[in-house]
Amino acid sequence: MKILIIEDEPDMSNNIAEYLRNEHYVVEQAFDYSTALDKLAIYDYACVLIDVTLPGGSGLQILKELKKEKKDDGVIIISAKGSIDDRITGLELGADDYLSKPFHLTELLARIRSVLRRRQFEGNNFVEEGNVKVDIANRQVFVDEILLNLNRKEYNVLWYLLANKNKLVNKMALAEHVWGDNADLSDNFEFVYSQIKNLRKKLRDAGADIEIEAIYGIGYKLEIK
Amino acid sequence: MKLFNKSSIYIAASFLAVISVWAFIFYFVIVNEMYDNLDDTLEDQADLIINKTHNDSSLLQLHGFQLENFSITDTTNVKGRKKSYVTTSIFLPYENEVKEVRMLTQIFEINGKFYTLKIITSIVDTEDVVDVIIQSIFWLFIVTIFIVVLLNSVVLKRLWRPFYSTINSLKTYQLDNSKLPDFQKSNIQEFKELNRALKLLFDKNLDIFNSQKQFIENASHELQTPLAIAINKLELLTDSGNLSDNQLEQVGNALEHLERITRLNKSLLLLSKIENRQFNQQTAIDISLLTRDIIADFEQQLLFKEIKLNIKSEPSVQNLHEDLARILITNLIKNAIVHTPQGDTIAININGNVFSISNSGTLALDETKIFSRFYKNIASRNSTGLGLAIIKAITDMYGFTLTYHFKNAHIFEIKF
Repeated sequence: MKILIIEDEPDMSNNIAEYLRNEHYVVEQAFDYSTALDKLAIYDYACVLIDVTLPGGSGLQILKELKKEKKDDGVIIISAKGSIDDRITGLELGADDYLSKPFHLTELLARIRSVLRRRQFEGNNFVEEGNVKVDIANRQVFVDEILLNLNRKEYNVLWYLLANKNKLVNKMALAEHVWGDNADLSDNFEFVYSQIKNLRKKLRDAGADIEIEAIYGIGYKLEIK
Repeated sequence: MKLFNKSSIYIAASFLAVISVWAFIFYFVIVNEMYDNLDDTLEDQADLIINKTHNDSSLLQLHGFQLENFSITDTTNVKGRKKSYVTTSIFLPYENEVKEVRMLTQIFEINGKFYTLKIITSIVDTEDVVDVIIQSIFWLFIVTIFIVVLLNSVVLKRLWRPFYSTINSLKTYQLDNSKLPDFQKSNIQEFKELNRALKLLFDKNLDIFNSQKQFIENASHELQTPLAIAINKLELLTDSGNLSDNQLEQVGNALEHLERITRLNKSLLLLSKIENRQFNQQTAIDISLLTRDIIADFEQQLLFKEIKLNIKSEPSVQNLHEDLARILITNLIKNAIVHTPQGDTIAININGNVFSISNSGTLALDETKIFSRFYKNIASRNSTGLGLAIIKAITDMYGFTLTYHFKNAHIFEIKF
């Protein structure tokens, strides 16, 4: 699956490229406006990451061009401005998602996977890992076809770890994904840990083929047995 | 002391001095003029009497002011044959009293004999003159002062009106609402200059203020990309699988601190955006509904800390920006959760236009400081010290009143 990164900061772009290549995506990079347009005109991408501020033009303009050409590439807007206007404009112009810098690579990967899945399965989407099946549309998890009783946040935790399976997920990244701006409560890590503990217990009790490993001091890793 | 009182006093004092000196001179001039007149009359009368004595020598026998206002005595002294005027007191037999008179003494010659003619006329008592002058001066002074005060209060007040209007617009002016006060136009040079100088001063300060605000926003933006790069680099490192547990922990710690900078940066950015009035849209929001919605997000945190939440709410619809409303309520609840000890209670009350949230505590906080940036009551590693400052900025922007008081619990209250 091909992904295009349109980002003028080489270090930023290279970080993302390296991470995605580790995930076996085919990654191409464009560092300015015109190169980006050239590449988009020639190739089709499963997903395009567009930085809003680019030398030579605006990322939002690229998005407009893309939609004008009726290209079906998935688009995630990346912006350092983090302003609500950018987000709204981006989504109104037809972007699939919006991420403001700085973000976690695990978060980016989860978003890319969501975008790709939405485009490939057209809504009818189940993710299966071992004996665990996730019904994304209805936010339900089944172990051996039996519904697992998870609350909203537990589902989000599981879903985020699944999207980053076999990868080390930073506890802060997890907290931010699940609890958003409320992630900065002072004793949050203990809290996250207690939530993971509950989730683990539920998974174990249901006999799931999934294990969540705590890596002390940094985060968690979901592995399929 | 007010300007016009002060000027009244100055004017009154100088008037008093001028009028006093003037009264003094006036007195002498008047008395002098009076004597001049009297002297002329005396001289005319003397001429008349002397002429009469040529025909009627009996007149030469009248002396001692018995019945007439003149007396003629023989004299041998011919040397001082001139007229002399004096003001003197003499006994007047026909009035039987000593009176102050003006007297002309003239020596004249009839048939080779010399006589002294003394002719008197009564004069107004100088004390009476002084009295009259003092009285009239006194009234003049009173009337003058009255007019001065009247003129002062009418004219000065009118003249200084642009000045007071400028002062008034200064009193209500706040640098951060960036609307320059409209000074009243004046055709008086000094006030024109004052207004021009003030305008210049404001423009300069406003420029500095705005560029300062813009600077924080720009700096925050510029920090985002390097922060993103640093965080992502460390994530790649942890993802590589080549690190020992110890190294992982070190990197994890570095990441934590980068997260802290990120949060701080986001909060600063939000704060400067609020202060730069970048949230203009307003929607009608039911604060009660919003609060319940936000509490649902905190459900697990509350459970985890075993915090009991009492909420009493009535629908309360307010107009504000949707995101800011959420941030406002979220920050208040977050603040309460962070500072509530395990197992204690938080109470939320939404009633009419008042939202209040209280959490148990033992010591009152300094209400003058808690809303300032980076004020931290307790050393909290994860707190940015900006949460309450953001709340304050939002309430300030909408003109809501935000208060804190302590009554067995920390109580934060917003009046919409």
